[in-house]
Amino acid sequence: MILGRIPIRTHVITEKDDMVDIVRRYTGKVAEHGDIIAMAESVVAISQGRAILPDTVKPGLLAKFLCLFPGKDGSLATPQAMQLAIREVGRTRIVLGALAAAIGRIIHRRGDFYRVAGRQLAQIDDVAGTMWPFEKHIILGPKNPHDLVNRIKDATGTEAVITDVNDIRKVDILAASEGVDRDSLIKDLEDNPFGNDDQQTPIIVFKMAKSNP
Amino acid sequence: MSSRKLARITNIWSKVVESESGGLSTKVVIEATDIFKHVVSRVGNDLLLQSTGVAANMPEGSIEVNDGLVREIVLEQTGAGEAVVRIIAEHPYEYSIVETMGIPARTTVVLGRAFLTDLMKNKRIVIDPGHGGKDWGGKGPVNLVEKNVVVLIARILADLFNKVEAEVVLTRAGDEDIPVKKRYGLALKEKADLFIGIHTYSTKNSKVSGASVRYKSSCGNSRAIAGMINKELIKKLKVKNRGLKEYPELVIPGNIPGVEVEVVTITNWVEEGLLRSPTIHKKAAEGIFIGVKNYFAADGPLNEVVL
Repeated sequence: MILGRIPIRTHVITEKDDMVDIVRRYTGKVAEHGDIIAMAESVVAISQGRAILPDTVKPGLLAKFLCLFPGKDGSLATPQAMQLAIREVGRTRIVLGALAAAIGRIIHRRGDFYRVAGRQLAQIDDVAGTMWPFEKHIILGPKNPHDLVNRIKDATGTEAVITDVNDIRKVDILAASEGVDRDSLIKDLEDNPFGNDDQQTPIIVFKMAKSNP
Repeated sequence: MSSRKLARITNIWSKVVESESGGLSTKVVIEATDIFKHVVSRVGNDLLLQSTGVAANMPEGSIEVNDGLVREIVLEQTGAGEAVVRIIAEHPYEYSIVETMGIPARTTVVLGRAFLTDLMKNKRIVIDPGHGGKDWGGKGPVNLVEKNVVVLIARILADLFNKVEAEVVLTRAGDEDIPVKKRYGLALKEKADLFIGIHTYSTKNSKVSGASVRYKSSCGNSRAIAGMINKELIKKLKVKNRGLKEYPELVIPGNIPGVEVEVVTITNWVEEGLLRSPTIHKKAAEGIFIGVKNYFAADGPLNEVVL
């Protein structure tokens, strides 16, 4: 049972940081065995060097063409973001995804692009205006999230999850160590305790009731 | 004292809140693993919480607030088990402190914002979201249109002024094409203290970016207000400063000062992306609000520190 949650403010995390070190440093005296450490997926991605300035991306013809089709408020509506998607999964999967999306549109079915091209592309966040100093970056999804939560569990003895939470109460758990009850955690993440502004609380410690006090 | 018994400060945040009676306050919340002892003192407008039995779990240093009353909050570990939280404020205020046990434990400092209301009460401000109707204004490389974005920012700005009891008139609330002469004329009709136009900048060169403020050339105060708005806008948005520009076409009648704020450059790929974010709309409005507040605060005797 979750007793409470403690948002942890950190320094500005960059690609020079390692998330295992960050978690150890900031939760070492706050979290105990049995607690859960939740990390924001965008910050994990930033620590992996996956925040990219659009000016450094040179879109090709395919990216310039395909970016005309997704919803304009989505994350693949600019040539730069689409080029990064191509870089992530390759031209073939992107083209197959686009074909699947076109067929899906005819039969009124949504989500076929990501089903075919790769669900990791749904984690791409185009320029969002938040998370200074990365507010003008495109942020890709984190690499190897399952590996990271297991390394954190090994290093700290606490459970770990990587989550994608937004302000419209949509919660995705990208990876969780074995002892995490995903359903109860999702309910406690719905109001976005990470905050979407510049609050710099990329880690939340969930304090859990201990079965053997 | 064993470090295991120290309350660890895990987060400090602040927010402007409205009380049930309608008064505004800045709430500064210090979150920790336990309640800690503190002694409060004031130095000028700054409030110091000298705390014992406590350790900084979060980074020491400054947290930028810039909400018009609180400029920043500084956390400093001053010794073993001792820390100081300094709330740096720009104006006088009354305050109260509430401690709440829990996970996390919270020490909440509530700072009244009555000074800002006293300062801005009855000021008449005309806010003009640029363009509208058939006149789209600038267009972003993807699909954003200036006339739609500026209305969103103008509404937030109007709300900020309304909360401090200023009298706000919007030249348009919907998608209407209103002649420029009528917009400027409204400032005279309303006997406005200030006219603020909200725009974005447009150019064929998609690499150009940044914010600027244009000002009415025939009114001396306009340049000063433009400078104050520009400074706070750049602080909030952290975009390139395109500076101040004299704008002879801004022909607001009489001695009413007038400015037009180009919050960012809509024709830039990145800044069009920024303009999609409600956080950026809010920050732009806050920057303009604080700039205007600083202008009125600099103008009178109200800014003297009350000890």
